[in-house]
This record gives sequence, structure tokens and C-alpha cells, in this order.
Amino acid sequence: MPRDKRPRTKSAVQKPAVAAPPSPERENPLQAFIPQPSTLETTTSTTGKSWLNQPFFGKPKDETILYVKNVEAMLAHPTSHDNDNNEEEDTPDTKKLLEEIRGQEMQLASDYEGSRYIERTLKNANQRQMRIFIDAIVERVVDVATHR
Amino acid sequence: MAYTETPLNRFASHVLQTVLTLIPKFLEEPEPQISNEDGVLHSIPEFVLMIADKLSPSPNLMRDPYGSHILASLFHLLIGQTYEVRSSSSEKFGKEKNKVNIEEITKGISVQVPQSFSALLSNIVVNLISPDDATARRIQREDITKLPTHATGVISLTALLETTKNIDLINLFLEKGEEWILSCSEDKVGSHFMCSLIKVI
Repeated sequence: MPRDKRPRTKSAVQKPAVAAPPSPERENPLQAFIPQPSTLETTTSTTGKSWLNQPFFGKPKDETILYVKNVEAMLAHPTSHDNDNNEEEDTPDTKKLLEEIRGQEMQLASDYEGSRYIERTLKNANQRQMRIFIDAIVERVVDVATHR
Repeated sequence: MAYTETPLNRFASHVLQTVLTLIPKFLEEPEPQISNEDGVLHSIPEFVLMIADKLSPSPNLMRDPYGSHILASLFHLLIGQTYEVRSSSSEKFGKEKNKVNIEEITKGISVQVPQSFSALLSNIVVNLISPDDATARRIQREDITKLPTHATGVISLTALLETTKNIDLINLFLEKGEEWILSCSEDKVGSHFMCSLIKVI
């Protein structure tokens, strides 16, 4: 097998990009465009997560981790091999998490931590969960040929 | 990230590759009807065909450092096999953090695939090396013969060669002549491709 040539370098893996704190001596000319914590709290989604409607880059890291843990919990629903008719029921919590994740999957996937959590949880997913996840992302795997 | 860049994104491409790698283990399971608020979900094989159609394999995508791995996974999936190649740093991270190693789940999986998968794989080769338009065909064939020495392009090309063993694809390289074959064999990357080419002849 050929070796993996993707530029996921050691330094990149160990050092995820973190914005440097602004220098006290120099005012950041883009400061006015950076979402402030107070701004982030002004919009509340129907799911109760205020950051869901915010640009991805403005999402606080703690909430990112909380969110991917919800994703993990949703997808970690155990596979039911004992069930003869292969039907698997969603628990109410799973259903709620499924509703919350809709439309956000690829934003999470494009994040360093988020992609790792999704990959890990997918490995434990059963067929039903995999189909739900693919359904959510498949429309986003679009038009690569025309895009390039 | 723009959604159009999913297979080309540094992180999202790995998620997509994980999906493609895990799908074979579901192909031989019964597929119960599943609905959500939008209606009945497609079956796993239908999703595979949709993803393949949307990826639309091209020399450009084959050259992309992330897209190349996505296509290699797709080609193996279409013959019912898994393909999981990660960088050493990625594998190390996975063992430390992910706990579940994907290779432990998918290792050695080889399943029966629907006939539509075989037909799709054949179509991919035809579209790559024999487009209807004569000019496009000449340019694309020339483009593909540059992939064996391309560091990332060779990954998807080798996967396509090994999964299809397509005679037209093999001839495309053999017809380049002795000088090209020698030059490719002496190349650091091309030599690996030549090993695969010899195996499928």
C-alpha cells in the first residue's frame, strides 16, 4: 500500500491553531468584526444552544467539546444484534440529539477535535445510526468536479 | 468550510473516509425501513451510489492530497473491501485517543456487493479514460499518465487499478512505451505504481 501523503504533520496534530491573544500595545483593526461573548448570547436557537446559529469560528471551544460529546452520546447507542427483526428503537434522548445535530454535522467534521469525535463515534455506530449520519452529510458531498 | 469542499477538507475528508471504510460491514445486513422527518431514508447501497455520483472522480480529485484517499476508499468499497490508510501520526493519535482502532473492526472484511457497484466502477474508468469528446479524451488520458509519479495521485490510481484490473486502463500505461516505463520504474513514487501494474497484468 502506498504511504499516506496527506499533510497531517506532527506539529499540526499536536498544536491545533489557537488565536494569539491581542497585544495590549496594538489595537486589532479587525476587533470590530470579531464576535464578542455578549453578542454570542443574544441569539438563542429553538434547541436552547445559543451558539448554534453563530458562525463556526465564533463558537467557544468549551461548547464545541460539549457539543461533540452530545454527538458521541447519540451515536454510541449500542448495536442490537440480539433483535431478530433488526429493528432498533431510538430513545427519547437520542431523538432529541438527532434533532439538535441536523445541519451541523459537517461544521463539526471540519474541526480538528470535532472530526476526531465523529470518527470515533461512527466506529461504534449501528446501521441505523450510520444511515442517519450519511443522510445528513450526503447532500454536502456535492459538485466537487464543478467546484474545482 | 464550504460544504462543497468536504472531500478536500483536511479534517472532514477523514470523517468521510471513515464512513466509506465502515460501510462494507453493513452491506450484508438486512436493511429495515428507517424514516425521519424528511421521509424514508435511502438504503446503504443507495447512499454509496449517491456519494460516488457526487464525488465524480476526476484527475484533479485524484491528485488532491485528501480527495485521493477518499477515492481510494470509494474504489475499494465498490468491490466490497475496506481501505484504511492513515499517516503514522494520525494512527498514533487514534490509538491514544480513539481507543477503538478502525482496523480492528474492518480488517479482512470482504463482502458481496450489489451489481450496481460493479457497473459504477466500470463507468468510472470509462469516464476517466474515454470521455466522449475527443479533445477531452486526449487531455484526460495524458493527465492520468502523469499520476503514477504524483505523490498523492498514485494512491487513488493504484486503488483504481487494483480494484478494476481494467484492461483499457492497463493498456493506457503500457502504450506509453519502453522509455516511459523505464522512467516510471526509476522514479521514487512511480516504482510503487509499476509494482502494482505488474501484479494486475
